[in-house]
Amino acid sequence: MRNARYIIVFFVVCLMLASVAQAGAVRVFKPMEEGVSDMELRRRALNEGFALAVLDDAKLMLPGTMDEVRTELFKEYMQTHAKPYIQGYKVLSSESMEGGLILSLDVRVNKPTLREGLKKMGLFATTQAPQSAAVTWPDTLNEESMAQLQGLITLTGLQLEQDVLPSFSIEPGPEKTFKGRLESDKREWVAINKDMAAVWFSLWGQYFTRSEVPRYGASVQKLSVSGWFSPDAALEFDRVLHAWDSAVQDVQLVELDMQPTGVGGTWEVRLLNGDRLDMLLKSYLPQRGLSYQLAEETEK
Amino acid sequence: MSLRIFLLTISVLLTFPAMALSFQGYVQPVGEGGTITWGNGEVSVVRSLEVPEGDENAKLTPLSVRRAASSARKQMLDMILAVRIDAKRTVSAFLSDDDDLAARVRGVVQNSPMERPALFEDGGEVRVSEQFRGKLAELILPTTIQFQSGIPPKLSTSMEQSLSYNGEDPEQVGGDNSSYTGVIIDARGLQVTPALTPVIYGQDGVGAYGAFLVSRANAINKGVIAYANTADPAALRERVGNKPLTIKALNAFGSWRTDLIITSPMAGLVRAIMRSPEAVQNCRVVIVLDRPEPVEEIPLDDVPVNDADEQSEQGQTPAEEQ
Repeated sequence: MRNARYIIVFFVVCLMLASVAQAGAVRVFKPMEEGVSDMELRRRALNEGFALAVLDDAKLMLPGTMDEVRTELFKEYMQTHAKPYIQGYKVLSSESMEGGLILSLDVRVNKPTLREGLKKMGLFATTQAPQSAAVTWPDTLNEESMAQLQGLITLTGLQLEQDVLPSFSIEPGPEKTFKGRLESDKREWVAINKDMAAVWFSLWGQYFTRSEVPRYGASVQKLSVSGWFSPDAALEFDRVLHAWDSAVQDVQLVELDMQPTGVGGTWEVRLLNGDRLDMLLKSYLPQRGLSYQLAEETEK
Repeated sequence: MSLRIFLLTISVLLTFPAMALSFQGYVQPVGEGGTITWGNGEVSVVRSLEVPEGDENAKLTPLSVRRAASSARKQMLDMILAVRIDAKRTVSAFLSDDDDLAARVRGVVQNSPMERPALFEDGGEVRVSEQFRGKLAELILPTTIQFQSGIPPKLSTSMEQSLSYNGEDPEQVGGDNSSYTGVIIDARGLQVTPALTPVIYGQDGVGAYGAFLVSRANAINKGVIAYANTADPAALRERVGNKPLTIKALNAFGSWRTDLIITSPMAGLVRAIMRSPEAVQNCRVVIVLDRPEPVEEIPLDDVPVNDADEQSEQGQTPAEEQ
């Protein structure tokens, strides 16, 4: 009985670690469709693979979670907009069968670019709490455009209210374009594009990256590390800390303390995942003879 | 065994599988307390902690630990800088042109894992270590190396005439080589210098294995080649698989004897084996070297550190590559 318990625990640990090792690996099945060539099917499978890989990384980065509908909308959006976030990919296997195509990919996502993209999409703010906003559109908007607009509202995480700011309005422009206008309490932006999503996110991107916009809910923490014998080591840790972007963001070295007894550094970080940061710090610092302290910083 | 100990053991083994399973291979002593383990790419230095003499009650202090760790890391940095990347250059020569990169390497070394005794003990040792894998390898392997280009380097002259081979008849290329899982090259007695990206040439002067076959990612994570001091396939199974081909090297090549020459038919066989994704992706090639002499030490001061040195070094031999 005791042995059986060990075996079960062993397999659970194996599965957990296997999932960590497979980060970046995605598997896609695309069913065969009439009139769709093999090349086109492969292209669609690739795009879906990219979207899945971006979704996986986004889930790790975002401070909150997206519900099922929003996740589906995100995946759908990324099927046509993921490429800027893809650093490289490798086809691990491609299996054509009667019913369709199974594609296994190893996708490397450009995390800093994705983080910026998610900020512009407003997801860092609205996965914590919905954003109140007014959205208006003309009655002449056709059904397809209307459905797309509703999807964008849900994906962005807006809670529609009347007579509030920010206020977004959209109308059909010349030559099948869309003209969007976003007004906040201090500024107003306008964009025109044939792609409604491009209009939407270029305007909301301006809004969500304004310096005065309230930052997403993640708290700012002060991380102090001591025990180095050289400032080079502290600067290297600064790079390491920047790479832990699933745990912290907006990493800033604020103080480098060089004493005869050793070198210490203090960083301000925006905490996304406290457990993950704790795990990373504990796996990195003690084995290098370093100690740390983490304290909440007053929000700037 | 309690469940807690069992879980801890399993977690450590699974989290650090490479460390748990990696064979050490050829362990090269360098300087005082330093070793380079060419099987798993670990470089380490052990330094004794100094406790004031004549004081029976003297204990370790933070300062004594700092002195020992700083000294050990300085030596480790020197060891890393002295390592040859290939026949043409050392790590030091590569970094001499790039101050930022050199600072990053120093940062990685200064942040290296350290084992030390608890403070206020009577004495002991500090051990610092780093690996020629992962981040360090990413920094010191030049991006100018054409990894996985598929274009083999060529020697300016063929070795067919100059190196006679009197061994057994080599296996026919194109025969049943699909079952070989890797390659062991026995280079004992040839005074080979270990390097990070050596090239294996056939007697015809055409490269059979090297960075040109391996992706940069695999070179960084696994090392292009491992060195061992035994040709026993069982001991090397982890690196070369269950059924490796063992080849005797004819000679070492280059001014620092980093590259190897094998017979042309064997070179053909190596190329065929390396067509297997499993073999090439896992860099399944091991070079066997003599066991180091007990007193052998690499004098770190003799390593060329700038371009001028590199040029004079290359000038000692005829042009090696076209």
